[in-house]
Amino acid sequence: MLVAAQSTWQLHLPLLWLSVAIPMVSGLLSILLNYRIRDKLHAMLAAVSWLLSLTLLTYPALIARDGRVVVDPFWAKMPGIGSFALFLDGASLPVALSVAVVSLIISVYSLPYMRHRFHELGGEQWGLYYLLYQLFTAGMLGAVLSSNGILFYLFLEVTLLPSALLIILYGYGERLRVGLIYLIWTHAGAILFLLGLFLAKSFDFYVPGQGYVVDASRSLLALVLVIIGLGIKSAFAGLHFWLPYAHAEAPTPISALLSPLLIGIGGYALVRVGPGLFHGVWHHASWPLFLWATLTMIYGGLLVLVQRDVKRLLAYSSVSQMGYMLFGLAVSNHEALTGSLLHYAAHAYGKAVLFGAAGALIVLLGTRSLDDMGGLARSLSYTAGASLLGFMLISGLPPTLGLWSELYLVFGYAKWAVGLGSMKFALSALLTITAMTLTVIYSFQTYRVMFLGAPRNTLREGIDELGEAKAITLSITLLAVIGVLLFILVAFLAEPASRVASRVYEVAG
Amino acid sequence: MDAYSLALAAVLSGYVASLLVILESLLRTGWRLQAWTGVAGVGVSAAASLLALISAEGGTVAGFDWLPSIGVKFALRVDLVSGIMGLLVAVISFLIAVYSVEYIGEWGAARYWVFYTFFVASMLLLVYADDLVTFFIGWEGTGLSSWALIGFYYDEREDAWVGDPGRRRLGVPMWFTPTHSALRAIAFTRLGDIAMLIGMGVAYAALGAVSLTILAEKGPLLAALVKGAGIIPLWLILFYMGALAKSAQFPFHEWLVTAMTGPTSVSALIHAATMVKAGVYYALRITPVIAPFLAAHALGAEAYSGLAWLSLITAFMTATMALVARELKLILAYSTASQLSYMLAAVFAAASHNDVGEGVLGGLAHLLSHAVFKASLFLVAGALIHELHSRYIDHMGGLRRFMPLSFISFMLASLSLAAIPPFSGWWSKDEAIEAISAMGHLASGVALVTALLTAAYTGRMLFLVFFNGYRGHVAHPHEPSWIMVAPYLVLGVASLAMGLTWPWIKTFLIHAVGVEAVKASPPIVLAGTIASVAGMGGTIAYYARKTGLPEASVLRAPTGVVAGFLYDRWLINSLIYRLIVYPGRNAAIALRRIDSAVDEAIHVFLPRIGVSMSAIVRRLQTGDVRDYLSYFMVGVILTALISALVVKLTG
Repeated sequence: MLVAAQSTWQLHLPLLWLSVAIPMVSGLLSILLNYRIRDKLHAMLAAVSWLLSLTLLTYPALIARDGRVVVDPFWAKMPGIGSFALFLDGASLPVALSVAVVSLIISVYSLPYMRHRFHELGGEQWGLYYLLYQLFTAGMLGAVLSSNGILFYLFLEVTLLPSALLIILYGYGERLRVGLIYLIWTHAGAILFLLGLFLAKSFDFYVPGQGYVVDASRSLLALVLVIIGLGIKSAFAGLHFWLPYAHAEAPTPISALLSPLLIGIGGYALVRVGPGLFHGVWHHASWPLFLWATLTMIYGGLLVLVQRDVKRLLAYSSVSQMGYMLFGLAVSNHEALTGSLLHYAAHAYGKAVLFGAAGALIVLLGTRSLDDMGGLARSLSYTAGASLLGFMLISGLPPTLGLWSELYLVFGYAKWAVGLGSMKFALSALLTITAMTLTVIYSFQTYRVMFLGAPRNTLREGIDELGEAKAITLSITLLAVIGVLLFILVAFLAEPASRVASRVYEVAG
Repeated sequence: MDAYSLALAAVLSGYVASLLVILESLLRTGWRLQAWTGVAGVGVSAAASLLALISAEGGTVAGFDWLPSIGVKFALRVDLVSGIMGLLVAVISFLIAVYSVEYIGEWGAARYWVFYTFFVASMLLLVYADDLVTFFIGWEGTGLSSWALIGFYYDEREDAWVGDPGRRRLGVPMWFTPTHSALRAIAFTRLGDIAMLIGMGVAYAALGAVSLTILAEKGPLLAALVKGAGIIPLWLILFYMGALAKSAQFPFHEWLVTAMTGPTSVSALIHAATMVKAGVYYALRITPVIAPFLAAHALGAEAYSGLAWLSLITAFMTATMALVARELKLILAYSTASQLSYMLAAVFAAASHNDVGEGVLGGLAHLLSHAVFKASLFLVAGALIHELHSRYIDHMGGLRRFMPLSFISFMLASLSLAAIPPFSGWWSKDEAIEAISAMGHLASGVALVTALLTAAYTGRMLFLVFFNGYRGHVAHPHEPSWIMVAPYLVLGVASLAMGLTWPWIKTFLIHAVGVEAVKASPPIVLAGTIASVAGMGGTIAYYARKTGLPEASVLRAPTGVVAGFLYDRWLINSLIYRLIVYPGRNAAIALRRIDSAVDEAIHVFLPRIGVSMSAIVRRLQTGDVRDYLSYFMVGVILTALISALVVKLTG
């Protein structure tokens, strides 16, 4: 079944393809120039390419904001597997912009951080780093803009190898083992997703000129495969075992991309596929998925409370946050789906800030252990301030975008739950309250241990967060400020998402 | 300017001041500029809120669409109730801001003033909000500021602790550091807030938007929905749970008690005069809108009377705790929880008897008078604690000689708290008890006993702090400077002045709330007055007999069974930790074990099996062709056998 878009807009120039290609080209340039240019130029190259990409996205974004579907003129019918196109609509808008903005800022953040890391590793490989970085990030943008499941899969593979290599080459601990764990798990996830699509015999999310594809398959087996495949990518509880390794041991700028951006794309794809391709059977999945979502939120949240390693802690928090995205998908009315997409953005900025702050502590204090922290608010006031906003973003406090995503999710939930009967209503309300309160508790407990209390750190004297780590400090502050600005400008993201969700994906009953 | 713009200006000036203080701290200006920026911002709010009240007659609702897809508007409602509440909040905030300049001083000034102004703005936002999402934004903003300011002394200095270090009950520590208390506050209130958000979501599901205006217009639709879904009491409880948590109703009162780790100016503003009133205010605004529709379906009466009883129990329980407390701020905190419960009980009791107007009047009246006298009490307490370097009343005594102005302020406010005529508390408590009496004699009885206890602990506090011999360690305590004395003196005198002019105030309130005739029952007035006078007089007489109270007689925590039980807050805190917090922690630890066991199974054992399999296979590959030929033969034979079997079976 096809649902026509409210209206479409065919671009005259391939702005979407260019926005993906330009960062990739800059990555290639980096490796070609490799040792011939200085580290700063590498970083500038990457940052400028993302700035260009973002500029190119602005025009499509403004059109998509009005509820139109923007289609790139370069698209082709692929025999047997639909059509490959890049498109931007209200649902992909919050996701694509988050990917581009966070990739831009983290590309700057990378410079001081990787200087530190290369120094530890004893050898600089800026060309290779930025090649892998750009392939990884641009691949994500491509995946988000894909109109077709196979194309999505291909872009996902583009992200996978570079990100695994980044872990293996520049990560911490047993980085080869961790890189392989990451590679195997997430690749398996991608394959299961692909298998599900093959069984469903439907690949297009959106057909240029025709509309959205919904209710294309009612095969439960296919649905289960897709959910598990994307569930591994998004690390829902039970499928999350790879994540704490990868996100904790990756070099920190990469953690800041892996954790919010990449895993969230699994949830984003599940919007296109779940209430999209499997529209007709999705309501069967609602209640089990709801239980799974709250379980994921609680499981991740409880495990956060018992971690001592900051990066591992944040990794478990990401598991919990993916529970929020699944929560909206389970409910699947337009409010909740909008909530999921907004939460992608809220988590993107929030978790990037928090991983960024963890990186700042690694550079400035040389530690990841909570036992060494405490009382840092005094010496690291910018980092502490940004981190507070980061925690507010993931726990839904104003004035941050997180408040809105939580509000949409809860309103959507309530609308859905009143139809469930009083017992299920009571149970689901209890689970929701527990899960969301737990997020606040672990956030503020972690903040307390890291930044408040008596200082326990005797590792280094005379920390200066605006000295050697200026770029780190400023980039995480900027990310946090964007999270606040989006609180005020939420309509820019929420209204288009809500329009697509209610027209195309909303599952009633 | 119209009422909407004035209210908006009152809100925005706080937010602007907050941003300015951030900017100033980035530019590293001196702390005085930051402090006075805060005071100025709040001062503008106060002026704007006064003008808003003046033009509030008739009520206006205005704003703009924020998120049309879920019906969210940024909408403010300026009517007499929000106008009065806004003025109260802004003026008290202003007075306390003036006090804070010197009280807070340099350490942490930027942080204090950022969150202080952010708080005032958020509080005014929720007061003026018509749209409940707008309301919720303000509401959460106050919660965030509350967290930040309770944990203001984040270096965990011992002066700021609550409770007796080393004391444990049921194995649970009974002393609390600032950042611990801050975490408790945000955890407790956030629990209620999510429940409230679900409750709002249900209203949204029925109406497509949630605001006071829409609830008033389309309430019957909502009543039909919750009735059809069979979730009436549950929904009401969720809808009010945020208010119960914010206004410190059992078992949420625990967060408020330990919130006293914050600077005393914060306790006065956030944890006595304003934020904790937000829950009451919510009930005041929401209940008259939804209760009639529920009553029309004969719904909700039981839930409302259940809520009223919860409040009455909280009122009584916290009053008994105040009787034995030794920390001055703790006595005031218990008292705050107890008085808030009066207000909520009044609203709920009246709602359960379909007479919500009277409850709103009682709740609002007591809210106003309590805000004024409790702020004064806290501000004096802050000055005393600061001066004497002790938070225990054991180290005070006889201070009327050293600090006469503080004494006068404290006494005026105390008499109001104890509900002695003609102070404002006497009038307003009576309004509240009148409303509670709708639930019958038992309820009025509990309310009156609580009034007696209130007067008793107030008398004890007043006596042990200001009368008798001085037991402190500071040689010559003296009054703080005028900038600190003036705010609490003004508030103390105001509580007397409000009492003297109460008949006019009441007429105005009746007009604001929009109730018609208000009955006053002489027996209740009489019983209340007797309870107050007896409670206060009796306690003072009891302590006055023990002239020259030796330090040792009050310096220890009580050892008796009953007194100890009250002193340890009815063991509620210990039970919460024993039943929820510790099991939660243990669950997390157990979960970590399970998580790492599965992790190990997948990432260690599974690969190990693979490795050993490969070892077996490798051993077979000897490189000797004769071996391979024999494997081949075995394979052929096995294949033949299996084929034969298959043919036979499928045959």
